[in-house]
Amino acid sequence: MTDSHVFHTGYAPTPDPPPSAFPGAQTLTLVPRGGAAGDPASLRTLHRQRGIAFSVAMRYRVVRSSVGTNDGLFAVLLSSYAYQVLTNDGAEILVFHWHPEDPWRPNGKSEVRFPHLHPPQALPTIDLGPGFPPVAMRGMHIPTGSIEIEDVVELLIREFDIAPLREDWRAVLAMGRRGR
Amino acid sequence: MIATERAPPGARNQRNAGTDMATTVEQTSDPMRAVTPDEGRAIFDHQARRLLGISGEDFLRRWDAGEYREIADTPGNLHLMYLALLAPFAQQDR
Repeated sequence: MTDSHVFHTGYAPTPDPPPSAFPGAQTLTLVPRGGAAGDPASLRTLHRQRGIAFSVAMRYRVVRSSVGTNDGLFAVLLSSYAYQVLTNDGAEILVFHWHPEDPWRPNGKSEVRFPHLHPPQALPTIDLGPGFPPVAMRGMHIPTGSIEIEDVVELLIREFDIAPLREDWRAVLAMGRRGR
Repeated sequence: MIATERAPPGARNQRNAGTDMATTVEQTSDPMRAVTPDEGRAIFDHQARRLLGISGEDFLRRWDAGEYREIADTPGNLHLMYLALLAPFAQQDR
């Protein structure tokens, strides 16, 4: 789908006990060919057109596991994400968010803590008829459950006709999902 | 509510505006790597300038001051949350 590279801030584990309420947050993003880290990666469709772009920001923590046979080993825990499906000029089509923590809020909690989807900005309001206020979906936070990056990649290939770079993409995505 | 500052039209699609070797890659290099604190700051600064037309440092100062608190997760402003999630790039040596 894209030959982007990945830049990240590292593997430093979160101290135990943590020194602050928001310790050890690392982040990663894509580096598209010919672009800079964090820029949207332009994607090619099966028809060799480029109208869709994709960007990723994922925060994670490295923590020591205390579970079963993994006791004492380190694990990577995803703590926030933004998966953005964009037009090539940067307009949002679909944006998947999960950002339960917000260190800049007084209580440290984000206003919308559940994983959610932001619908397309261009979505028109839905007219419910006389006497009812129209429904504006574009401002909604639609609950999604946790979305993995594999889910978004599959969505792009299946529904947006983005060309996979390899024929065994299903197996690669399945391997990524099994790794969790 | 404040109005967000936006980069000039088309700026959000300028892939190489203000980039340097700290924020780009040689495609023959390791496809996944950790960046240094200096590279991280350059990455974050580039994204703040691409998305908002301000420096990364200025974005963090404004975010810390709560200027974006009410709008960062609203339509048309989702680039603010995206940028906030990248903030650890600029904070590795804090």
